[in-house]
Amino acid sequence: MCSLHKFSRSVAALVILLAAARAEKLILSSTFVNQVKDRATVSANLKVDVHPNTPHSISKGGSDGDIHMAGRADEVGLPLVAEIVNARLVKQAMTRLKATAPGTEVPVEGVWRIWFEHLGKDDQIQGDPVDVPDTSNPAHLFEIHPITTFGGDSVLDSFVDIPGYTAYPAHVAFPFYEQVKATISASDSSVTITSGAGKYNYAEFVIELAGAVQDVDDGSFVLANVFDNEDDEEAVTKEARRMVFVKGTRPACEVKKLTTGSRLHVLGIPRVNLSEVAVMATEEAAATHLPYEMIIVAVEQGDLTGDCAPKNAATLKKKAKGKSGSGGE
Amino acid sequence: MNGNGLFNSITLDVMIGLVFVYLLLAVLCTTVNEWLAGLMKLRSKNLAAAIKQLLDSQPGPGGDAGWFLKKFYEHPLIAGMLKPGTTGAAAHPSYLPSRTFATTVMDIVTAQKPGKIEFKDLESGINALPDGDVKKALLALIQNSGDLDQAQKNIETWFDDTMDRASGWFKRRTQVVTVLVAIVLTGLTNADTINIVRTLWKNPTQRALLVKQAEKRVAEGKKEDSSTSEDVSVAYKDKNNPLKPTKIAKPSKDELDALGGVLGWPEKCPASESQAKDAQPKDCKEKEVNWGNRLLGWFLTVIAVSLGAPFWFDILNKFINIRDAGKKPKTSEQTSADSGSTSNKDKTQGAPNV
Repeated sequence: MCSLHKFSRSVAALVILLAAARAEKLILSSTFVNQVKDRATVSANLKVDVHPNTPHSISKGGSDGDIHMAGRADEVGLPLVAEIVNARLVKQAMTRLKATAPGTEVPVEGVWRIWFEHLGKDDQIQGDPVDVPDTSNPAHLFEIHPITTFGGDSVLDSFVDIPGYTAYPAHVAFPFYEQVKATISASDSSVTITSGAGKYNYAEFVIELAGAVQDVDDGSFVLANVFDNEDDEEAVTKEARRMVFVKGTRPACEVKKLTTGSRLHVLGIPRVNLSEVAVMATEEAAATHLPYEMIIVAVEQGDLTGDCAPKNAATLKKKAKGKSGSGGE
Repeated sequence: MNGNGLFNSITLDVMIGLVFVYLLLAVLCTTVNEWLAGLMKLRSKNLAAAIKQLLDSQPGPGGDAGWFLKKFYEHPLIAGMLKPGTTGAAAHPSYLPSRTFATTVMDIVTAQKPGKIEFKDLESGINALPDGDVKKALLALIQNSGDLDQAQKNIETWFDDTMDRASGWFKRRTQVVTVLVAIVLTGLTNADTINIVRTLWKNPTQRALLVKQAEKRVAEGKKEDSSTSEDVSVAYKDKNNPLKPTKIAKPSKDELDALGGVLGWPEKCPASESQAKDAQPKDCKEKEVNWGNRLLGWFLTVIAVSLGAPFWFDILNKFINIRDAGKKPKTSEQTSADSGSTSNKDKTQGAPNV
């Protein structure tokens, strides 16, 4: 009995040690940071190494209807995973993906996303050789997620509510995003971010615009306060956070109609805000909270108006009634 | 405040206050320094100088000096990294991956062989270069490599080694800028060490205020879980411009308020007696300034601030530890009273707001 107790304590200690070691360091080139910090998306020739043939099932948490593909891209130089959201809605891209043999290079455009969710054992250094992944969800901190174009096929129509999916509510997700600790530093040539693990990929929340929408080449940015419900008065964030909208999507169309103080019910995923990282980074490592911003993936169906409503609204409603799919990772 | 020895004495508190002032000035100095480095494109200039040193001494086939460097910047891999519409340091990147450097150099050398190259193409390309420093360096780098991959790695290492030295140049340059910023900061705030010590010695309220802020800063530095332990954060001053976050420079407002009593220029005394009656009682020049003392005080401050914030934070930690070690042990009544109030406070914090 005593030795069993000792054994379980040793296992617990080992688990704690392993968990403690899972704060990971990401070293990015300063040039890359400056290139993408105020952009929504990146383009890459993605060598698709591993992909499943069916998207995730849809319910809650990681069962989000996305489809993952692990690969390598010289433009990124990091272990990476690209994801199509609402994969069942974009049949042409899915057919193309299914026909993609391992190692095939496919031109991909999509939202760049750094999030410390799938930590590995080693630091990730941009430009270092990237091992060929053997799973569709290897240790990675960089994602192209959501994809906007896959092999020339636009998947912008996938930027809609995930039918049948229960996202994390704002009062759960945002207090977590707000308190993730990080250390940021810079050298002549690089920016280093060390952060604890991130989670809560999809959050459902209400934004209230704190300023004007600012357009960039491939999308729009706006500062907004975040609320749990439409009529809440108390925000769940300490201050206005930056929201990222992708050009050509319904959310981007919808947000342009709003003015300061307007509210919108949305679905979003977090990513590191490299614009803030670039401002903070100095030679001396500085402790801070991980700067983040939200990629707006969808506007709640009820908030969509006129020309911003998806063309396939009827199909979506039908899909929402029957949850389908299996075998997601 | 009793005056028993050094521990918990006026002397120690004055030293803590002075170190705290140095620390805050050093933090401000670092912030300004980083801002200037960005404004003056110091990193870009540094990288350009390092590349020039590597590649400038290689003439081309026509004997034109600087040919290799010119070819390097004209190469699409490098030209694509220059900021369009700008020239000089503004256009130059502040970072260049060693892989890009090596690929570009090898491509320039083997320009006569389009498409895939082999080691012998690289070797013959280098040999075909006119005599110059780049040719000598490349020959030395490939002589023991034997294959193309190893040759590329050697060229990358050559670049990385130079970048290491370039980091040293950058640090030395920023040290000079640090001293200049420290001089300006000291002058602007009239941070005269001698006067600060004198003020802290004579003014127990000011001394206590600074010691309190110093203790707070040290305590916050120690508790990593505290939400106030951030070294840095950002804010958007203009909510209509989400592309322009601004770094919030520490120190805090409380800390700057605490500095108010020991820094700054004294206001002029009213010229006449009638003006003096109307004026509020405040510090003003009561006597002629001793410029010798003031210059010495400034000099000491500049030297101290140039030592950097980490140095002064470390010293402050040590002084606070000495101060804490010298405190009288609490009586049992005090201890129980303190712990009682703490537990009540904890309960309050955990309770829902009703």
